[in-house]
Amino acid sequence: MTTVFRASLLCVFAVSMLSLGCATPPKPRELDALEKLRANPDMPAARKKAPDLCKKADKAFSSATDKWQSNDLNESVNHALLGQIYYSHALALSDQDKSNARIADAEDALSATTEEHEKAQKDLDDMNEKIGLLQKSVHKDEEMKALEAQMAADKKANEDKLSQEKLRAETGDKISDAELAVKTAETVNAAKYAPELYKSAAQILAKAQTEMQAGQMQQAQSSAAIAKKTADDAAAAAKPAYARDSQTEESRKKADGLFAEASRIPGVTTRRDVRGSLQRIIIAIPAETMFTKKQTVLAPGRDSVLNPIADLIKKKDYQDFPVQVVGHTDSKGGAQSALLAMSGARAQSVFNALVTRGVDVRRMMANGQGGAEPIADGRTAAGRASNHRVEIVFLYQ
Amino acid sequence: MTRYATVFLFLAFLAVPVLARAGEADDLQRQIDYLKQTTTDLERQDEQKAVSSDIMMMRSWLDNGWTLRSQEKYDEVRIILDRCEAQANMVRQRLTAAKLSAQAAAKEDEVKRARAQLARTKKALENAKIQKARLEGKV
Repeated sequence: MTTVFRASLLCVFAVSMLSLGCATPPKPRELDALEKLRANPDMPAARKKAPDLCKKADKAFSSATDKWQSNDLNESVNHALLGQIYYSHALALSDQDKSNARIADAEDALSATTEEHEKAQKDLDDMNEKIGLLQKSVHKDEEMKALEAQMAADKKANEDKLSQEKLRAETGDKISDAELAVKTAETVNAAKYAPELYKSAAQILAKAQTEMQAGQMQQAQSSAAIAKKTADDAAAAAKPAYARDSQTEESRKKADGLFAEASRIPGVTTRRDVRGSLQRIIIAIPAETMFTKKQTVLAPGRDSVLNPIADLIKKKDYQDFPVQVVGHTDSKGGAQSALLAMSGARAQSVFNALVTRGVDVRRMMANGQGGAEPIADGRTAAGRASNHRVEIVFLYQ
Repeated sequence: MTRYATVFLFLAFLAVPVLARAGEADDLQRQIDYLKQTTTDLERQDEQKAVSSDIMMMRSWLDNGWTLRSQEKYDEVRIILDRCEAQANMVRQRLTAAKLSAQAAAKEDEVKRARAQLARTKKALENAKIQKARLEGKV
């Protein structure tokens, strides 16, 4: 029993050892990796690209599997590594094809894109050219508008300038008018005869000139108008006094000339006197020179003394002088009324003789004074003879 | 004379295997050196480091081959050299594939840039059309 049992145990042990010795060892890592590589999704493409390499790899895989199953691990690993290399080689070739295809696709796409871009760029260039032209057109329109605006502004500026110049000219004219008015006032010596007004006018005129220089035309015009009016007022105020003085002076000079010329007339006496506001130059012609005794008509051939007197009256320089022809007698020799009548008649005779000699009748008046204005002592014969006279009286102021 | 010739032939017969094995070792050494140089060249070409692990593995195999050659296990060395030769060819193709892939990627980038440029040009064209219409309205 024991022997049988021991033999059985020995048999079981032997069988176990035999089966253990014949069991497949663990699969090498390299073979695992090879199997994974075979399952790569790109492998079909690799097989198509490199069939010889893949056949060699398949063969290496079979050998590796066989060697593994036959417990020859070293050989299995060698074959597995070789198989990996072949598969990897085939996959690399496949990858190259893929990359080449990608490059070709990319080049095609690049070519198409470049072509499309060139077209788009050309369109863009055309569009930009059109836009440029349009912008030029718009710019020209804007330039035209700006030019028109500029022209309008220039026109307005010119108008303003013209208006300013006109205003300045008007102001200048008004100031000139005022200056003329002041000068006119000066011609009538307003500084003397209307000093307040003249001074005021001069001051206002100076103010107007200053305002004009400062560009204040309206104020200058206003001031010039006031200056003109004031100067006119001054001239108006000064004129009568000036005229009077001027006339007086002129008359005096003329009277001097008249007196000198009258003094040179032979057969007459000449004198000057003042009566009221009037001055007189008196040419006294003795009555006996022109009249016979008690007569009032000029004696024939005795009126030649009137010739130079008539010439003197008619002389242009003395035409302004009113002339009186006044007859005088002495205070004796008759009634006063008779003397007055005789003196008036004699004066009228001389008056007529002078008119006959061309003297303007409107310049003269004749009257008789009788013996009211003797010039000599009436108690003597010589005195009485002197008082019988006809006087030609020039009047002036 | 005949006896000497016989001895010589006998010695020569004994020397042939020894000499043959010595030539085989030298030949294997040359192959290993050649493949090591190939490895160096491949490393230099691998600018993108795409196959550095494959080259490293090949270098370790060659080191192992050198050891086996020293142990005069020439058959095993031959197996390793065949594998390294195949590995070198595979690495060359993978390098080529990597370069082509890089070229493809560059081309695709170029396409992307061109498309972006095209999109910008088209956008500019659209804007120009709008501007033109606006200007035409002004004129």
